[in-house]
Amino acid sequence: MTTPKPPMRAHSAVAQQLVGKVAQRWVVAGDKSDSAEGLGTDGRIALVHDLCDLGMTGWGILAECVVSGPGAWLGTSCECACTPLPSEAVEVQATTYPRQIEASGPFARVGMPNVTIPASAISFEPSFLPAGTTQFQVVLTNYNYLGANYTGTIKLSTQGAVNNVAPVEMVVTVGL
Amino acid sequence: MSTLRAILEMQGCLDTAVVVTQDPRVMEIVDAFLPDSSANSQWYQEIEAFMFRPGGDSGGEGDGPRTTADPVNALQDFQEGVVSGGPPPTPLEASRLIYGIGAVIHLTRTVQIASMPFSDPSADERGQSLLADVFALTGGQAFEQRAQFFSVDNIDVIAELFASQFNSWKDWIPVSQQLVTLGVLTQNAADIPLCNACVITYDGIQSVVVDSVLSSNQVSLNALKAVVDPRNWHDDDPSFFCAMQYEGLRTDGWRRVLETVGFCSYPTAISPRLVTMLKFFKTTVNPNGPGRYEARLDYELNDPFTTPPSDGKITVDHGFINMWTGDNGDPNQPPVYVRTRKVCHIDGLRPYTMKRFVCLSGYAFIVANMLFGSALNPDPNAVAWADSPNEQPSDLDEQPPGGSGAQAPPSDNSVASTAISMVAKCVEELTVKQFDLADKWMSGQLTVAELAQHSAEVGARIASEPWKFIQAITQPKGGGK
Repeated sequence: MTTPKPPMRAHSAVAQQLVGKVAQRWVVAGDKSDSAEGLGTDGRIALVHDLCDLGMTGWGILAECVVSGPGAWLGTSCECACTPLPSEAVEVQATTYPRQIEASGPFARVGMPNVTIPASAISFEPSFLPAGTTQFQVVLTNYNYLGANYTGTIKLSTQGAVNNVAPVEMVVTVGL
Repeated sequence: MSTLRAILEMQGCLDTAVVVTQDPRVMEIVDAFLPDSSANSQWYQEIEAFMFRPGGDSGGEGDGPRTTADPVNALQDFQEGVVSGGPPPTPLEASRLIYGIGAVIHLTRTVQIASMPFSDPSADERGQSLLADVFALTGGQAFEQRAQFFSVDNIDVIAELFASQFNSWKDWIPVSQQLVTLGVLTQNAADIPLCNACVITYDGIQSVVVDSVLSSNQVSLNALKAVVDPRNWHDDDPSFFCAMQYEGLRTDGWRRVLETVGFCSYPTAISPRLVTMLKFFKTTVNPNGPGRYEARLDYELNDPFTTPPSDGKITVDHGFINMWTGDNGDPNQPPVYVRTRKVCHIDGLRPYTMKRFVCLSGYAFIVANMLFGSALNPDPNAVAWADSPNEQPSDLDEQPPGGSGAQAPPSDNSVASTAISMVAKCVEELTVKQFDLADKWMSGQLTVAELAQHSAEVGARIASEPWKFIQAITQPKGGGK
């Protein structure tokens, strides 16, 4: 049996988790930076990406609670026992350097080009491609778009951490 | 007699046990097999009341809505349904029924209390006889030789397996493999994953989302494409998809189909149907060179909603079936990989009950029946994947102004739009600050003071943002936005 949450408790919990996770990332990065091998380029990129990702995730959850309507404020629907799966895996060529993934623009629904997902409602799993990784999945952070195929362009880049490597764009179609 | 109703009743026994005993030990075990069931009790009688008409029992005993479930009654229903000439159970049906039997036997052998509304079906002669029949059917054995396969001793071995090793849904995979060895399940049935269903809020409506990820080493992409068109769903799963009537091409390239689902073996006077006008859209990817072949089927409620003669009971119903070969695979050769998603809401059922209904009925799992049934033995009259290029849009065109793709976008009521714009703004600001900080770090200019200030800002923003939100949504924006 689940105990209903009082109003605002869910938001407070989300906020506390977010603060905790952000702090944890900085502490871990600080420790690494102080160590003999240092944080390194990969670590810096990972740190930035993790921080962005935490911001997106935390506020995504908060927004979901809020737009769920009065039921959410009464604690009846903010928590899911499970989460819809991310998209099928998208294959990319391996590289010797890490890459950041981002949506270049909105994703359009297959067969309904007027229905689009804003890039802000799309995230990636993993959020950052370590060197040698050849797969990622697309994650929808707004369930109002759930249950259809979408086509969009994603950009793989090094955020300037590796010289002379231009960002690569590719078109993907995924079930979300 | 209905295989589907037998599966419903067998799993419904768990709900009945919770309702009747109100015993925490029973609730704990039931929740281990059907998570959150005890917190949403009476879902069994809710589905019965939804799918069967009161007073509809003139056709025979038990045809009206049932309020309590009994395992022996479920076994008898299942056995009679097949013996009286019904089709043998599909791997999906066999898997779901055996899951229910295993859970019920585990429950009755683990918690022995006087208030339990039924006893262990494997403990008496009548139950043992029915179990032998049912196991023969679910295991794909010759029905005439069931007594040889499933003696009383064998039944006891199987029941003991359920009692000692089947403790929750997490044990299903190893237990189902043992059941294959014991002849109770076919390998195809054991390969079917459990129903992965969640309740989410879609466009302000609590809906069930069901995901599945499957593959087959027996079926090719082209064999699956040959049966996957929605016009074939009645042939793929005739127990629940009573009819799929084609209603023509739309001007935007989607096609309409009138879906009729329910407990098809009962007349509509006893069990009413759910009638929904859907539209669907097929896309194919054939690589020019190395790559993988892909095919995607999207489906959606036809618009405008509701399109007559839909009954309007299903108010959310969309999803996709995505299929592909391996890298550089041959579309005419196995394996094929499949991913499906279905999002639906049925008016008149609680969210948890919807979840149980969708999982029990196989509503969101029709592709399993294709992979392990119709794609292996295709009907030569099945509607092919490729449609005629000469087909013209039909007259039944009620598409909204705006032409192709003018489907209503997701809700943008004042709360949602306010929340989204605030979130976007906040994320943008925090992200910029984080990038600035990381830049300083990389150049070795980050000071402890700056880091401390940033942490304080993040904390303050997060703490105050919900209250800002409340303030923002109380401001009238006009124009209904």
